[in-house]
Amino acid sequence: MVTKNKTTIFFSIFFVVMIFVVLHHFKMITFLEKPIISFIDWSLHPVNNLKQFFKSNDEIFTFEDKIYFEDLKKENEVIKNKLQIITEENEEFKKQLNFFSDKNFVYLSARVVSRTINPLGTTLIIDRGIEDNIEIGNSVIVSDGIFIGRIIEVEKNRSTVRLINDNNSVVAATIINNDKSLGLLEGGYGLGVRMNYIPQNEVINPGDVIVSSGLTEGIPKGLLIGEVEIIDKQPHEPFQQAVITPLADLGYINLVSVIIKENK
Amino acid sequence: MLKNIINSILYIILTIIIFIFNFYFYSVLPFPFNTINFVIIYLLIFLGIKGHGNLVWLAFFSGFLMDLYSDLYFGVFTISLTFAFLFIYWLYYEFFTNKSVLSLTVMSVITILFFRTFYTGLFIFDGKYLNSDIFIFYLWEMFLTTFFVFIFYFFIDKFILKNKNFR
Repeated sequence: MVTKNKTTIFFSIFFVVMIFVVLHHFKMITFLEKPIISFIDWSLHPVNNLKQFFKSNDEIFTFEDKIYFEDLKKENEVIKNKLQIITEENEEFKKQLNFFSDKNFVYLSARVVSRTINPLGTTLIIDRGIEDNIEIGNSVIVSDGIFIGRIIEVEKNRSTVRLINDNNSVVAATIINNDKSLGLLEGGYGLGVRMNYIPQNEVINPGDVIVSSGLTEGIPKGLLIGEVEIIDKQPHEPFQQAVITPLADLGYINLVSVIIKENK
Repeated sequence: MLKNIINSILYIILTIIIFIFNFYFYSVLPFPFNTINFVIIYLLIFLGIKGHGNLVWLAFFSGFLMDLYSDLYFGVFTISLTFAFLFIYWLYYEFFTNKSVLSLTVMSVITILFFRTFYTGLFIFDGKYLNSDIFIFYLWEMFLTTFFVFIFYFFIDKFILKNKNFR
C-alpha cells in the first residue's frame, strides 16, 4: 500500500514536470516566465559592473582613522568607479561605431545581461531579441569589429550568444599569411580556441592574425577573431592545428554589437 | 489556509533571492569559488529545518529558474533538480532520520551526485559532448557546497534549532 502510494507520488511529480516542460515548449507559460525574467534580469544588471568594481579597485575598503573621511573616501571611489565604467562603455561604443562607419552592415548595440548558468557552456544573454529583428545565426562583435560569437537562441526581448570558446562553436576562418590558409575554428569548453583542418603544406607562424572567412552563413568575411599562439604540426597527419588567442577578453564583455544584415 | 498561501509566496520570493545571489557568485567569483551552489545549500537547509515535502516543489521551482538562464533544452535543470531532491527527501525519511549535521552533510554529497548524474545524462541526450573539465567542476562543486552546508547547518543546529522548537 505504502509502495503504491510512493509510486503514485513519483508519477504525479513526473507528470507535472513534463506538463510544465511541454507548456514552456508551446510558449503557454510565458505570462508566468515574463515577470520572473524581467525581475531577475533587472537585478542581474549590475553583475558586470560589480565584476569590474572588484577587478579594478583593491583599495576601496582601506581603514581611515576617522569614519567620516572613510565614508567620503568610499563614496568618492564609488563615483570614480562609476565614471570609469561609463568611460569604458563610452570608449567601447566609440570603437564599435568606428568599425561600422565605413561598412554596409545593419547592426544593433546590446548590453550583456548575464552569462548562462550551464557550467560547460560559454554563452551570454543580451538584452535584445525578436522585437529588435535579431535572428539565430547573427554575428556578435565587440570593440573594433572583433568577432566573439553568434546568436543561438532568440526570445522576445533577449537572445543567447554562443562565444567562440564554447565547445559547440564552429566557425570557418582564414589566417592572414601568404597562403591565406583556411580552417575551422573550434571552441574548447571555455578554455581556449583551436583552429583545425589547416593544410599541412601551408606555413603559419605564431602571431598570424585570424579573421572570419565568410564561409559560415551569417558571419561576414574579414571580422577579426584572434592570433595564432601555438602551432601543432604532426608529420604523419594531413592537417595541422593551431591554438588561437582571441583578441577580445571573453571573460569580461559588457557591450556588444549584433550584425543583423550585410548590405551588399 | 491564508497562512499557507503567505508562506508559499514567501518561500517563492526567498527562492528567487537565493537564485539571484547564486547567480552573482557564479558570475563574479573566480573558479573554483563560483562552483558553490547556494540553491542546493538553501534547499538542503530547508530540508534540515522544516523536513517538509514542499522541498520537492521548491527544487522544481529552482530548477525552473535555472532553466530560464540555461542554453540547454528547457527542462534539464528542472528535471535533474526535482528528481534529485525527490530521492533525497525519500532518503531523509527512510535512512537519515536523525536530522544531524553529519547526515545533512552526507545528503549534500548524494544530492550533488544525483543532480549532476541526471544533469549529465540529459546533457548528453541534448547532443553535447563531455570532457574532464566538467568533472573537475562537479568535484569542486561537491566539495565546496558540502563544506558550506556543514558550516551553515552546524551553526543553525547549534544556535537556533537547539534553542527554539522549529520542527
